[in-house]
Amino acid sequence: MRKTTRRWLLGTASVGTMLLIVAALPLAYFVWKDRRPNFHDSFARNGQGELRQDGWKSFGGTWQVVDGAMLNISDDRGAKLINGSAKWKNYIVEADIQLLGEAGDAGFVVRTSQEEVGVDAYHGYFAGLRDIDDTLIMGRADYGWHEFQSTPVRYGIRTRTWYHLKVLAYGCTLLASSTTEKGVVTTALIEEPKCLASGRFGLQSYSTGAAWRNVVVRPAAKSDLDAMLQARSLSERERTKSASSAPGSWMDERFFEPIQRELREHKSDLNAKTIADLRLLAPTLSSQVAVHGVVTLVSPMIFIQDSTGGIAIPQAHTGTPVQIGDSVEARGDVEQHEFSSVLRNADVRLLWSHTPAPPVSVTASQAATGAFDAQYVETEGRLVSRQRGGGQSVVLKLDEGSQSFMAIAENPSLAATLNKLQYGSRLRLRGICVTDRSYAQNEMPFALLMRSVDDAEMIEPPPWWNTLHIIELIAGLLGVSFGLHMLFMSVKRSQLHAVIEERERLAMEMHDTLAQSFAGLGYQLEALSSEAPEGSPMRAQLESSVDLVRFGHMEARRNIAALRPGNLEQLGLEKSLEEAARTILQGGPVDLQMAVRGEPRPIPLRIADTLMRIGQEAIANAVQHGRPHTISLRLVYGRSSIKLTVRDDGQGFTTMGERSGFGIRGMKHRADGIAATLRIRSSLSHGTSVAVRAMLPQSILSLWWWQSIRTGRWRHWLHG
Amino acid sequence: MLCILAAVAALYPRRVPTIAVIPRTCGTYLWEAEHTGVERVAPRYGLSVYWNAPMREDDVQGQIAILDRELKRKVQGVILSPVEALPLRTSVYRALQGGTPVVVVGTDLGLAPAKNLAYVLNDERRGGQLAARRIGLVLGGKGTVAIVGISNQLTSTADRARSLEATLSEEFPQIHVAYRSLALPTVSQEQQVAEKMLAENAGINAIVALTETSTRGAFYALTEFNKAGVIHLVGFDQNMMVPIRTGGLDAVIMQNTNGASRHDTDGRRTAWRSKTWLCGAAAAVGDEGEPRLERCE
Repeated sequence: MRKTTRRWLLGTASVGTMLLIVAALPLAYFVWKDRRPNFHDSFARNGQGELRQDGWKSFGGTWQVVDGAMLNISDDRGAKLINGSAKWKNYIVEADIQLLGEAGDAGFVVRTSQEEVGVDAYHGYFAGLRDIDDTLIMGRADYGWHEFQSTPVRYGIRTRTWYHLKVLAYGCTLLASSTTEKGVVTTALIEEPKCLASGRFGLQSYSTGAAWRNVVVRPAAKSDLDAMLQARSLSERERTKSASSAPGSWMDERFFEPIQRELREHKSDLNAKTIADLRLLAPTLSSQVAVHGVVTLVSPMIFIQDSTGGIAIPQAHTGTPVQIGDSVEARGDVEQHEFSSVLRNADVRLLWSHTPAPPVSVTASQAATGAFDAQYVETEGRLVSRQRGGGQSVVLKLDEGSQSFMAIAENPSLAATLNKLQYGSRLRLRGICVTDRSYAQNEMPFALLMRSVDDAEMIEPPPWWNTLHIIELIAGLLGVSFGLHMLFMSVKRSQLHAVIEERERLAMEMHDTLAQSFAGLGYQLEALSSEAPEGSPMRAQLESSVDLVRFGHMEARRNIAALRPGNLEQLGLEKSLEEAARTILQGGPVDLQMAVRGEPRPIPLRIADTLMRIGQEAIANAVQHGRPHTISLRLVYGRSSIKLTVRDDGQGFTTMGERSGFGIRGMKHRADGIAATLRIRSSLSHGTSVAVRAMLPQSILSLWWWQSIRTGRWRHWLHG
Repeated sequence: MLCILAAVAALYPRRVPTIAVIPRTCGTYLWEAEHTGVERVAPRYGLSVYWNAPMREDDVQGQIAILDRELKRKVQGVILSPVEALPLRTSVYRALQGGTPVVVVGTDLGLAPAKNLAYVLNDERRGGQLAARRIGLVLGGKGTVAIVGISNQLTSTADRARSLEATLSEEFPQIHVAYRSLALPTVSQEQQVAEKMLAENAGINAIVALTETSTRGAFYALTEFNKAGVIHLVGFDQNMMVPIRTGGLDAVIMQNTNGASRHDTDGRRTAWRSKTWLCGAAAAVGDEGEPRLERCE
């Protein structure tokens, strides 16, 4: 191999390798980024009030961001908020965590997959703090709960108190530690031989609301594991149970203790009224009453409901903050409103947790009656518009049948979700139905105050026939039509070229055979004639034959000239026409006049050829039938058309209608082929005028359509 | 060629047939027993189990959504404990139309048992009898009774109520039912009803609560009135075991959901088979067989 070739190959290979590396780098980065646990969310907001960190996905619960913390304000059992990558293997999750209610637990799920809405509906591990038995618990969920470890936390777990919770997953060792504000550390460990090797992480609470702040996920190394193991006290280590051990008394804690806790705390007003009964109180007197109900909304105000109705409690005084799903006793002054009552100056006291109320499914028309005022309802509607409300809120306007209503979301996470919905989508919405003017704005019969991301569900995407899609469709159809037209023109052009080539071949054949034969025959006959005696009948017949042959030869030459377009494309139409006319008139007494008006410019070959053929035919007809003295050719280039007029001063003829000659029918047929108009005027002794006018390309299509409609040609298309 | 086929087959291993088991809710003592039972039996038949349910026991729409989703996933069978009978009927009917076998646990949907539809039902008539006889026993055949938690949404509790009253009138004619209330969705509402009943009916000697929710509501009301253990309370469904241990609850008629699940996966038609127990301080009776009465004392 030559040295230069080797050098060239080497250079090419080097450049190729470099290019491959450069191309692979971004891919490798994304793969590496996906596999490397790295996450931090302080639940701060950017300038637009939206959360900086994205990717959270909720499975149950009522999630919202308040003061830099992510809150689940519902008592749902097993509410989850998931983030991260399914490929994450060894990592540490840590955050500050706070239980908002009693008789439940909250913490982290790690190495989780196949999450669904449900109590233990995921495959993964959970580590969290449980206040029922004041323990740090660890276990595994496989659509069912297996608790492996519950380590008592010294000084107990208090609600509304921050704990720092850290969970490490390294290999098949999972270690959790909780640290109180006073620095008391509790750890729990599980080692499972057949462990789940990778998965996402998330926040989970069970039977209580909870708050998380400063959530951090980072890769875990062996040194992290060693450090946590080292920090783990000996006594805690002795309490560690094997992960393979069967679940023990945790069922008692999880299932029975809440009942005992409820029992201890529960004391309620025996004279509490039902919410519907409040409507029967005298409207003019201020009455202080107690009602029992389940909390359905906590912000912007508390709403509670029982089986008879719902009631709003603005500016409630709550000892222990209440959450959605809590059963409470509210005592305050009743104020009668149009469709429901309001409890003013109310003290709200928690009776027990974990009794969330399901929404009542109603139609928009039913909700518009006011019968469901202040109640948690579920209804459907089609999204019409969306606008920003006060603060971070988003207001949706929806239509359903004859009713319109609003849905209001003040939760930023929910607002962000709603912002992604497309107009025209059919939505199923849940929220508190309010008829109050401050929400419904006197425009709509009612509004829904939504609570969490799960309260909005798209059940049908918008129909495709919206304005944008229709415009796109029309544009597409026009594009296709234009393309088809161009294709049609291209095919026609190809066909024309083929016809021209065929005519050329025929002309050549005629020239080489017929014309040559005529020439030879004429030469032979002239020779015979010259040898025949002068004045003999034979000589007269031979001379007559020579004349006939000469005439035939001349006709053949004319036909050859007519068949050969010459250099139409090179010479242009006017020159070609003039040349063709001179060829036809060659040797005759007819005077030819040629005039051109307008600015000559290239015209499509198909049009030029048609005009050429019609012109030739008109000239030939004039010569053959009219015996003219003068033939004038007039070519006019208009703005959007071209017009050729062939006029002679011959004998003329009367219009023959349907019986018009073959030449005229041919001219009409040719004119139709290019959507041109053909006018033939003739009268006896005043000559003949043949005028053909063709539109130039920018308007030829529209004219063709117009003429088709005008002449009724479209009927032929319809009927095949 | 065979090698290639084998390699392709190895890349796409055969899917283990999956059955969806959807109770009214999960993570509770009542329904986790069913989970344990079905997980124990399913592997014997080469089945894997998808176990999930709504987070609340009254979430009908949630249960329909889970059922519909699993049917779309083409599970090989469904074991369903309906939250309510009527709303679930359509989804079950569609499942049957699609060729998916369904076993309904706990309540009659109104669809006739057929080739692909089997019921595993509690003997609610027997449960009502057990409750009535327990009441008759503790009241000495004489007194006044309140019945709370009568549900029209589930035929099971309606059957319990009918059987209870029939047995009381036949066997204990001197025990009168002085108060009846319909089932309500939350414990707090049940408690309110029970409180109202106690306030207005001072002569009540015993309460029969036909659902787990009404049992808890009645128990809280009794505790609040300091009548727990004084007015006898007989409840249904076993999430309320603690007060039995402490004496605040006289008896609970339990469902053997664990045993029921074993019948489900066996695929046998076991409609109207008795699986009701009355238990006392000894908590759950652990095996099948004739229901028996265990005293709380």
